Amino acid sequence: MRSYDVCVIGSGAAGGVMAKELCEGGAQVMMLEAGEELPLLAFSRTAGPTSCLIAVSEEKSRRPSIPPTSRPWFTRTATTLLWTVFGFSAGALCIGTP
Amino acid sequence: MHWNAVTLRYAPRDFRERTLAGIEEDWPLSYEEVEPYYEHIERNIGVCGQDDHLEILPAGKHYLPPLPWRCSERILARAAQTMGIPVIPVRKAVLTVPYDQRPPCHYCGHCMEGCDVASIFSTPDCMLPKARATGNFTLRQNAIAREILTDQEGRARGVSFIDRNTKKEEEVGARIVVVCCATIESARLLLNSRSPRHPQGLGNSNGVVGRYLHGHHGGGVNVYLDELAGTKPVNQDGATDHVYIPRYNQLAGRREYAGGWGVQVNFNSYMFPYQARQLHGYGRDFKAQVRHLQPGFLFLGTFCKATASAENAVTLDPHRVDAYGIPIPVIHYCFSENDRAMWRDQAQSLVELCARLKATVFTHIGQEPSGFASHEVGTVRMGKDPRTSSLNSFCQSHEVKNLFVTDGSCFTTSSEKNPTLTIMALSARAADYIKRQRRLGEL
Repeated sequence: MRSYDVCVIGSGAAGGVMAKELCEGGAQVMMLEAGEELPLLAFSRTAGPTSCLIAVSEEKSRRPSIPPTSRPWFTRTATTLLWTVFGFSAGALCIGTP
Repeated sequence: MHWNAVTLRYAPRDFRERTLAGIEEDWPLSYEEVEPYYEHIERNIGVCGQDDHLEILPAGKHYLPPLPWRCSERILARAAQTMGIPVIPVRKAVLTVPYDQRPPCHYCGHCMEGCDVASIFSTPDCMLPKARATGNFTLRQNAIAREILTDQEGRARGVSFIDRNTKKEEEVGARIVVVCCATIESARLLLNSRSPRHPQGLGNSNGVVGRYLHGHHGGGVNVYLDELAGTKPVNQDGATDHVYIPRYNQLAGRREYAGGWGVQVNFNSYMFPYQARQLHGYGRDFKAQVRHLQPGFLFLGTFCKATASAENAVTLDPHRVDAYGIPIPVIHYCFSENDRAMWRDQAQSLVELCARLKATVFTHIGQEPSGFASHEVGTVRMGKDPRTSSLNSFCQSHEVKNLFVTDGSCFTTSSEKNPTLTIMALSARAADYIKRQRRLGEL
């Protein structure tokens, strides 16, 4: 079994800060994340109900369409990971009155 | 990922609910102790906004220029001003100028759909590249934590997880385990981590883990501003809300209950008229009505502080497991009398505000308290007394010294403010503590 100084479970707001700070402090950090990498431009290609409606309304065609080479942040974004949204892995059962 | 990016600091009073309002518990730390970490995080992630000199909403020293106000938001501010209620620029982790090698917002749509250009802060865009650059970072995706493993002394020794693709169980060893799975899943993971030394779940001999689930309940109104109805629609779609009304009830002098609520002002006059589905009618007249009202649509959504009580809890289902064989969480929740009193007040106040605003309400959100924000907190709470809390003020388990929980579940009490900035500040503070303790050889 491989062992690390710190295991951070979850890459959300709390986990991201924790991993960055500890790595910069010299600790060997393993992060476990239930979700997985999303492709580049995942959000404008596949988005929630609002975007689907925007697509229907052709609003989407008005979004900036600059070729990737002239968008310097793309190369940076490409090296980072984008996560799928991971909600409850099984869904929670609700009991009780509202 | 799907985050509206509102980043508000808790106020000094938000950490002292017991002392000031006589309910719940005081946090084991003060605003002054968190303040340097708020500042640190705000500088790291880039927050637009300004110092509004409000005691109830402390400000940092380093803001990017606020988002420009729309016509509807100026009309709201003018109306609220006549009631003595301030409307301020919202503080969001959205870039309005280039910052940290990221581009500013180009105002393409609703923030919660995700941001492809990283103008909104997110962990994968802004934190993980920095962690990776150190050479000290390893990431395992598709890894579903099942249980935190312990040694014979009851200390954490690693994590057992299931690979989502292979469905196989694997283990990773660690000297320190930090749980950041969010309020429900963090409690679930600890409750699922049973061992002879921790028969009720890890660090849970006092039975507090999973209890005190709370956060925000809220209401809201969909309105159209009479003043803007019939004007020519213009594209102002980007970056969702640009203004915020802090702690409305306190600033309006209402005190019939403990706690507070604020108003998030969500722009709704999108070029695609989503609100049409909430209007009644059919055919040509209906279309004409939608076109006429569309420039004036506005949504006023309230976030009300819910009371932390021990009965509201996350437990494990003794019989049901998820697709990976892990027992699922069960949520027990009941609103308190205080919650209901606050909810009635926000509903009434919104009606008053809309009257002043010359706004016509066409949908009320709900008839009683409900939750629509994923702002749950409190299930692994910090506290001074190890008998009634799970963590100390550094998010460290009272019982298991090398176990930390730094997501929203560590909150002692909620406030009306969105929790994410405080989660990040507390996580940075815990990280600082871990680094110090490691240097001292304590961890």
